[in-house]
Amino acid sequence: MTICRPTLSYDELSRDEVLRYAGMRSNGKASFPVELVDAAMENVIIYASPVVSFEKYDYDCSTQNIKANGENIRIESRMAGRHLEGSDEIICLALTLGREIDEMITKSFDDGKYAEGLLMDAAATDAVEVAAAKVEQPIEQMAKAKGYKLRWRYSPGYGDWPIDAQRDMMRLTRAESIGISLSESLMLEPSKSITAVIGLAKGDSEHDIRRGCAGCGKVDCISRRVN
Amino acid sequence: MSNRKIEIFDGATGTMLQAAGLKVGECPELVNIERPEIMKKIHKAYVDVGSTIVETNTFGASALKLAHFGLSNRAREINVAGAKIAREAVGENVKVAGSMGPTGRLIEPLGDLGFEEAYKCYYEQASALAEGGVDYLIIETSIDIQEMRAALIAAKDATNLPVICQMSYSEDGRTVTGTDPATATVILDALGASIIGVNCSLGPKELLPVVETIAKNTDKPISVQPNAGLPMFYNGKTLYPMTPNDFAYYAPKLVAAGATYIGGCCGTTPEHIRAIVDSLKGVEPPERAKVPSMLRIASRSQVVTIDKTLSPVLIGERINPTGRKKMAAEIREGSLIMVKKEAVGQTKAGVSVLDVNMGAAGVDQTKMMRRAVKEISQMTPTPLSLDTSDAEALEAGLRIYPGRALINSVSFESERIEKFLPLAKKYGAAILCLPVTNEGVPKTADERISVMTKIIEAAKNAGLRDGDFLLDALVLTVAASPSSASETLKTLRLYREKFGYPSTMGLSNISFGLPNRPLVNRTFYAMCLAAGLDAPIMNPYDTNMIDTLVTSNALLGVDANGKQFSRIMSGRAEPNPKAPASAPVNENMTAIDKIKAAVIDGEKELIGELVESAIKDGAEPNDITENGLTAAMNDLGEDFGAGRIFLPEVLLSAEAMREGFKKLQEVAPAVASEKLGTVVLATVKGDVHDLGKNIVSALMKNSGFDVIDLGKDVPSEKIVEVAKEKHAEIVGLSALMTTTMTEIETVVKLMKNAGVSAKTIVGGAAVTEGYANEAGADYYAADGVTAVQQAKEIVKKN
Repeated sequence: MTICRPTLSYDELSRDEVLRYAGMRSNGKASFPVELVDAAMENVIIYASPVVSFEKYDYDCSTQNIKANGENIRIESRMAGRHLEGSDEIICLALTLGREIDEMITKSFDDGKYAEGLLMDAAATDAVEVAAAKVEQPIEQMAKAKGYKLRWRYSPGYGDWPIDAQRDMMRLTRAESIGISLSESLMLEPSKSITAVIGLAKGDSEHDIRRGCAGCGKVDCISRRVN
Repeated sequence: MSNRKIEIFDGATGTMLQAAGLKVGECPELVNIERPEIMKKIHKAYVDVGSTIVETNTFGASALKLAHFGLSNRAREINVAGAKIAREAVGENVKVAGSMGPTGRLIEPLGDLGFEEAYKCYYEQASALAEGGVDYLIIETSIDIQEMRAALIAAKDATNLPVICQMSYSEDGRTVTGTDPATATVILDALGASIIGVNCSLGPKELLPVVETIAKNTDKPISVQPNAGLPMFYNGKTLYPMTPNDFAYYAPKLVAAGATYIGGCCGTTPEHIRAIVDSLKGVEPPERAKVPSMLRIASRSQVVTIDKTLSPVLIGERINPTGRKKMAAEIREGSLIMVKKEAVGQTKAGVSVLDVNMGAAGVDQTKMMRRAVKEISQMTPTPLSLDTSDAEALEAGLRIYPGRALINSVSFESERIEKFLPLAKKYGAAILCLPVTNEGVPKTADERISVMTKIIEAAKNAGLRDGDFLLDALVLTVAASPSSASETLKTLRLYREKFGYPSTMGLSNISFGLPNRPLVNRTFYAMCLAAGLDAPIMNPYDTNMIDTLVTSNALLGVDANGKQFSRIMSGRAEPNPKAPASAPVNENMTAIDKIKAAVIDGEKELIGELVESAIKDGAEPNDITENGLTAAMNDLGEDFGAGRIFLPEVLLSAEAMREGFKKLQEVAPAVASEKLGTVVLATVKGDVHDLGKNIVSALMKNSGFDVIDLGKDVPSEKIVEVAKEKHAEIVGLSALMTTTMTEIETVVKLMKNAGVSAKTIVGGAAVTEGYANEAGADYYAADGVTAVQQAKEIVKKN
């Protein structure tokens, strides 16, 4: 099990992404006070403590089983299975920004600073993505040295992968050791937390499983990337 | 160490060990003990083709790395043996370098390995290699500058051997932990590496520009040990594509770029080394251009240069509890929130160095300095200046700072000279020199020069060198001594003339006790810049001071042709065009329309005033509510529905509404408290994501509803109970996920059973119109604005 804390600085967050997550479309951006976005990003840098735990396991594509300490844990998703095809190892990771940022978002709403709360939530979402991408770098480096390519990060809840998988992911990543817990209804706490798998495969994927908004069925999402 | 003689390292060991029978999964370093003859043969094979330095087979022989094989307790034995067999194999005419590789773990706070644990591990390995008789230590393939620092400090503490430091960079030119070759070189040169270089990850072609960068940043010898090209993978095997001749083609180029220690890493064989030797026959290393000895300090990922030939840089003074009660109290309680705010804020405001001072009464400075350094360096790439008078706190900060810090400050007081200078040397820090003696502050420029001369002499005796100094000109209050400004200006000029080192000072002392201090400060600031001030320590939020800097830079020609000046000033003349969705507040509007426009524009600072003056001018509170505040919300709803405005803007307007209602409540309490109806809101049981519910709550409250917000993860019984008790007209439920959404049905059923007649509005990421119908809910709202419109419809019908 590796635990690491990626650095996260203000200039790594993106105003455009924060506004997108907050539901702002491009035609509204020009008139929106940019200081508010900046302040939300600052607050996220100050209050978020990104921490990641990850572990590498053997993976059997034909059965979609992750082999962990003599146990077979199946990925119950056709799409995830296709996405991971060709992988013979798999990284399971958990990431959280910590509890404090959740508390600050709630406090903003309680204080009547609604836009601040919304923007901090959005900036925190961006921070999760930035932090996860940072952790992928050394993983990619390590994988590349062995001739592996990474299959992009895939999480329970994507496509047809039921979020029931969070139970397995909690164990596989020992997410509790970095302060993540799972509610009975399968929600990760703190709320700015994710778990994901990254396949390590020798070749490129033959399936075009679309990443990001393009691969998501929730077409009425306010944060959906246009184009 | 000569810069002009080429030394040839060996190549890879691993593949040769496997060829000799080492199985995959076996500990390669155990060969030193169990089959030393194999290792000796490999060393000899390299010497036979011309290697002048061989590396011990101890790359993975640190206790932490050996733990993978359960061999931690044999670290010393394996390292001593590795050194001895290398020596026995190669004799006295070939040098032996003791190899120390990564521990395989990242150091805190990036990872979970303590700095001291890493230090101890390398100390043990370095001692054992020295005991076995190596000529050099080589710390290699490091992807974390902090691990390299721990290893180098340990190697220097444990032995007197020259240390070669080789980092490993990815294709993007940085280590995976964010350090580029220039930054690493600045840090390692100051920290006392004897030879600085690079190995592994990339081939010779890719490492050529890395060697060039290293050469621009150090006068020390440079080593390079590339892989035999970028790896290729075939039938489950890793292959390095470069033939000996391909590989050796680059050797003369690497020498021309400044490297004099050349060898190979993964995929290289004795044949590659032989080819290098051949290709370098008759090649003379060039005379390297001397690196200008400028003051350079660095964080993990960034170098800042302070020099008379460059624009002045700002040192941010705000991380300092002196005179700031709230910050002092926070630090005392162990909180660094304000400190972190200042770190982000000052970086954003353009400072190049952050001064960090933890000195407040009742604070454990050592502990807090260590924490502040650790946490600030996680969140900003701006290099740090450690500002303390406590040698223990200084060492705590310097030791764990993954960069080259500035020490603020070293005076000619005995304790500073005796304790701070050795720390600066040991940790490769630069020093801010303060011309103060045990007797106090010298008044005249000439006296200050004489004290400064003594400080620099003492520092050089302690091993510091040009490029390590930042000179403080000292500012005394002009009210107390009329010549103090001119003495400071003279000091600045003399510093440049006599020493050539960059200068610094805090400015605001000058105006103490005078009227209009800001004017005095910025006038003096301009004078100081003209006299050669390079790195003012100041409050970067003071825009007048920043303007003075920008203007002075243009006048003094530092900002060539005043380009930056023009850009900043013209940017101000045309503020960002604001394109509001509706007419902004203007004087021709009626009082009510002004209120409406202010809500739509989200002008929460303006709205209180507008409501107050409307009431004063005789407007009816009801008119303000209906035709001002509520009408605005209706328009916003329409604009939102039509995609003309978006959620962040709606929430800003809601904030303005909130201020408007608050003010109305103050001036006309009776009217303002009339509500449209009562809404009970909850995020259902099991669901902890309540952002959507919070947005609905904000909008409902400010659209005239009495909102009872029960929060998140609320049991259905509780929702029904409160709805009944409060005679709610509306119950709003949110659920994010399919797993929690089913609670909606439960609540709806319970409400029916309990005879609660309130209408239900439901929403949330997973909820759809179809599901809402199925669950028996009355309304499905895709967003908060829709929910408010539905709520209004419901109360209208009642």
